[in-house]
Amino acid sequence: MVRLFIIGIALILSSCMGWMNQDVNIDLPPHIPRIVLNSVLADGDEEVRLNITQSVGMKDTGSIVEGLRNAHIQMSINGVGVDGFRFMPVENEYRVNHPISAGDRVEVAIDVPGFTSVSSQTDIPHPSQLLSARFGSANDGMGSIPMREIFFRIKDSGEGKKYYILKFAQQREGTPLRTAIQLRSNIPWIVPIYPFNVGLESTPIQGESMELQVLVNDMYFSGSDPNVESYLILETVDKFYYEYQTAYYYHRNGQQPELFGGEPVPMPTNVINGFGVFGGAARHMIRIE
Amino acid sequence: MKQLFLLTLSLFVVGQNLAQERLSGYVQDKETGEKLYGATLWIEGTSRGAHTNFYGFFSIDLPVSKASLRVSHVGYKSQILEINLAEGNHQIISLQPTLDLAEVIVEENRELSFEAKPQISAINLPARQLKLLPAVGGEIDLIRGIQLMPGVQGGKEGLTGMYVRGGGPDQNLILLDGVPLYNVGHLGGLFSVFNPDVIADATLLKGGFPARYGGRLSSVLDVKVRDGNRKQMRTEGAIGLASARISNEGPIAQGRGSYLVAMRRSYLDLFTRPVARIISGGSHAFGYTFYDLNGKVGYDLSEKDKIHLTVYSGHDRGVVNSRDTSNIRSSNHFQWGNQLATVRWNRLISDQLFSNLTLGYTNYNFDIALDHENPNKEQFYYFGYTSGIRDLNIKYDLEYYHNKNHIFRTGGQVIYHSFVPGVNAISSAESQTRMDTTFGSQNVKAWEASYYLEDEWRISDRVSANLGVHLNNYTVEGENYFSAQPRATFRVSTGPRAALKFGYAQMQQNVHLLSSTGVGLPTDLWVPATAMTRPQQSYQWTAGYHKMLKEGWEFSVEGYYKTMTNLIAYSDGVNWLEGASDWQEQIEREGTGRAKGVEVLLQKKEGKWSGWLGYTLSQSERRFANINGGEFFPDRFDRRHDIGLTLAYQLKDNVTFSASWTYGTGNAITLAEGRYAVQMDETIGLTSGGFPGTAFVEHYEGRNNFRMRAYHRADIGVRFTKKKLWGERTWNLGFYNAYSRANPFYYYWTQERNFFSNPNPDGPRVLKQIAIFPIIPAFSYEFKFFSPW
Repeated sequence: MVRLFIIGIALILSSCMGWMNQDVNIDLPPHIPRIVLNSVLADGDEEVRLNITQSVGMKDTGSIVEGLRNAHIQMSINGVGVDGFRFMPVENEYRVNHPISAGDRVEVAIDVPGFTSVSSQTDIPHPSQLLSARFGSANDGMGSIPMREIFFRIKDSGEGKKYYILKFAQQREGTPLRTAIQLRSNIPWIVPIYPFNVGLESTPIQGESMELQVLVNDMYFSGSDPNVESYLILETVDKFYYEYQTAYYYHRNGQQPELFGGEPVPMPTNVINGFGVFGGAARHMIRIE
Repeated sequence: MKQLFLLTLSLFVVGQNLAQERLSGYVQDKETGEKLYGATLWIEGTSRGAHTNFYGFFSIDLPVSKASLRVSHVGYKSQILEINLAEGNHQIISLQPTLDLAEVIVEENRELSFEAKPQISAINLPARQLKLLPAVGGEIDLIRGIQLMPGVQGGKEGLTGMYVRGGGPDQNLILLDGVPLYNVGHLGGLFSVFNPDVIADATLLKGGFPARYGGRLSSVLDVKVRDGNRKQMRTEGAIGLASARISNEGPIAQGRGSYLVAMRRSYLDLFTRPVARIISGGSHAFGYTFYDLNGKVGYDLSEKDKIHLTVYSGHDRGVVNSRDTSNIRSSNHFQWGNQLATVRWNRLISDQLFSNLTLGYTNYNFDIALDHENPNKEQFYYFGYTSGIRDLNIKYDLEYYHNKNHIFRTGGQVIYHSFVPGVNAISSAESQTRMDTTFGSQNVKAWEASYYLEDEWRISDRVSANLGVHLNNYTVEGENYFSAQPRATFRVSTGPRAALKFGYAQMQQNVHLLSSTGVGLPTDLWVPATAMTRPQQSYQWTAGYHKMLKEGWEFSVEGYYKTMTNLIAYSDGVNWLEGASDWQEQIEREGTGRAKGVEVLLQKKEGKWSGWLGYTLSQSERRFANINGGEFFPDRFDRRHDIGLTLAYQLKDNVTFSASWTYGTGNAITLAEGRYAVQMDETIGLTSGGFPGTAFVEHYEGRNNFRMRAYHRADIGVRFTKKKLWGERTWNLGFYNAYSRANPFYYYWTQERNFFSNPNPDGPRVLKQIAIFPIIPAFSYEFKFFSPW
């Protein structure tokens, strides 16, 4: 009898899932594949890394992550050519040794047989400073996961508008530093960056310093644990990379819009004739008290 | 403008001396003494009639001093009065409500019906008809009823959106006793703010707007709040699954006036607060609630002077509070709400000249706030975000019943707008050091002055018209926007009880709604037209054929074409609160829209059977320079075909059955045609294997370039009413989506899976549909207490 009951429940659940989630047949126009360039160059990097792939139609078969191996890359940094890119099969990307510094202007052009050629450029920003960071209290969002407040003070250099990505990092004794820890904020203009971080513009700081708040899962609270060190990393990024990352969060939400979802968000690109992003970044890190 | 106003007044004064054989007065409910809006008066044996205005007043020219007058209103027994003007030319006419629908004998020629009025594109929904609709979620909702009418789309399933003839949710002028409300949704739009117990009547205009209305492009929803019972104290209410409501009304000063107070409150927080406390071990609490508070007082200062005070306050609030063991306290909340107050003074200057002075206040605000306090370290932190709009207005209207051929209406209005389109405030303090910062969009103050002149003109027995002009002057940031908006409707009788109608209306709207979702959420931002962002405008042409059929059936078919200019929208990729920049830096402006359609309505308002069948064939498109390559694209809620069917049937004296069915072409959606790898924000110290592996970018070739599957749904409801010693009770049972149709809520692409359900990352993607609302039963218990005194 119990078994019959369980089977009955399973059948009901299965039919409910089938009711909620059904296949749809639709005809799509053919997709013309384009080159996808994804790369972020950071102040202090010793090598340049480029991920070059291709786009695929939604109903077509093919990999979107496998690198295109026959790309011809022309790059210049501050007007000086950079040669010697090699495709690294394990890392699935092109690499060349060359130092990257704040203030560099990097230009790139890529040819791949069978595809329209693409080009892009980026400027490596100068880093902004975090002045202080401290933990606050635990705050329970909707009674689910307790979140720990982190207050940080940021200093804006005042030279034009800046774009920041904020990351939480932690180092436990005997393990390397890691950043893949979810941050979020209740301040509406501190926006989520998929999958872990948050972003903000310098507009509110107006050339001054300002204390702001973000939240991290309370299990990462290290205030009373001497074996754990917590850090905040402030990445100053170029405007286009910032727009790409903030748009991606909403773009990804729009892929499954749910109850209050809005219009799908098209992804911006600064790769001419192609897709993807070619961005620049500079980091500053501070320990959380 | 002032000279024009004075000229109009002088015309009225001259005209007064020429009037003869006139009967004026009020039509009211016999049991409650409430004045009835839209009652019709018909002079027997002639083709002449009149209807009561918003305050129940009428004034009618009689051909002779003795005449038979037939008076009727939906839900009331018709009455024939023998009028003898020698006995007085002012009358209070009382109509008896029909408690039993079977009693209603639908007569031809019994009223000045819809085909006889010059107004086109109007839908009237009296409270008695509204209460016959199926109760969705245990609540009868005005907006859900209107969604079933032709020309009105409901937007996303389950929400109380209102998209009229291709317009947006901001383009509806929603008036509560003459004063606009800006956001009419609770719980993100699942419920509307209209408590069914306080509504007397609602009229929706979709086109052919009379000159007295202005300020929105697509529709006017004029909601009249009940005055309250002048004869007897009465208490009624209901208890449903999500909310409860109660109202009390009664006479004041021996029936010279009346009052009505009503409250509705949700009790979701009664469940969420204890659940949150249990889960968190007592340190946290989460609550969400909404309420509506309505109040109205009416008082007759004299036979000619009446005063009405209406107040409304509605609020949604979600809050999370916490306090940890070291006494550090934090609180987060979001809230939004409307407050509205209006005082109206009706004065009957003569039996031909009716005036109304309105002072109004309306406020809509949306707030988010978080604060943190650590008393041990003297640390304090506060962040607040607020947006909103506040209007103060004064309005004076005159209605002049010149003779049997002309009713003139004129008036002026001044509105002072105060916009807060998104302000952030931060305060922090640490060991006696305090910092306060405020930033965001600039607050904007604006003045709006308008004047209108309207002539309801009976040109001949067969032809009548309503001609007018609405002048509007909007001043903001040193910029002046003036518009002269012509309005015209014509009616040409084509036979017994049939007429052709034509309408033209130009409208201007000085506020915009910035919406990232397009579904009218409280997070949407009301912003003003400014020196940079011009007011939006629309131009609508309408033509229709209206016929009164046998046994009370009404038939109409209408076609319309509407263009809209100066529309705004968020730029691609911008979210409502993203960044702290001014909203004007984040939008596309000077967008255009066009909509066209044909609407058919077959309706029966009274009798044992009542209901309507509406069909709409329509198209609605938008164009912005930087969206979709500058080409026109379908509006999100564009529907090619739309059907709404509503039926109510009185099975017995105490049992009423109701059902509705809706069908619509699938919504226009933007569907990805290609995909590619995403540049994920980089992490440190994490191997790639730990990353969410399903992230990718979808590539869209156009906006809203595909259609979802068709939508259809049936709702049914049954009301069981029983008299009790203490009054009356009603059990209201309802089923939403009665045949559990899996209507598409959204589509998404997913990886193809093999026999063992393992995804193939390089394989083609499969398109899936999600449906979220199956059959949902609900009930409510309604009660009425009658006081013996």
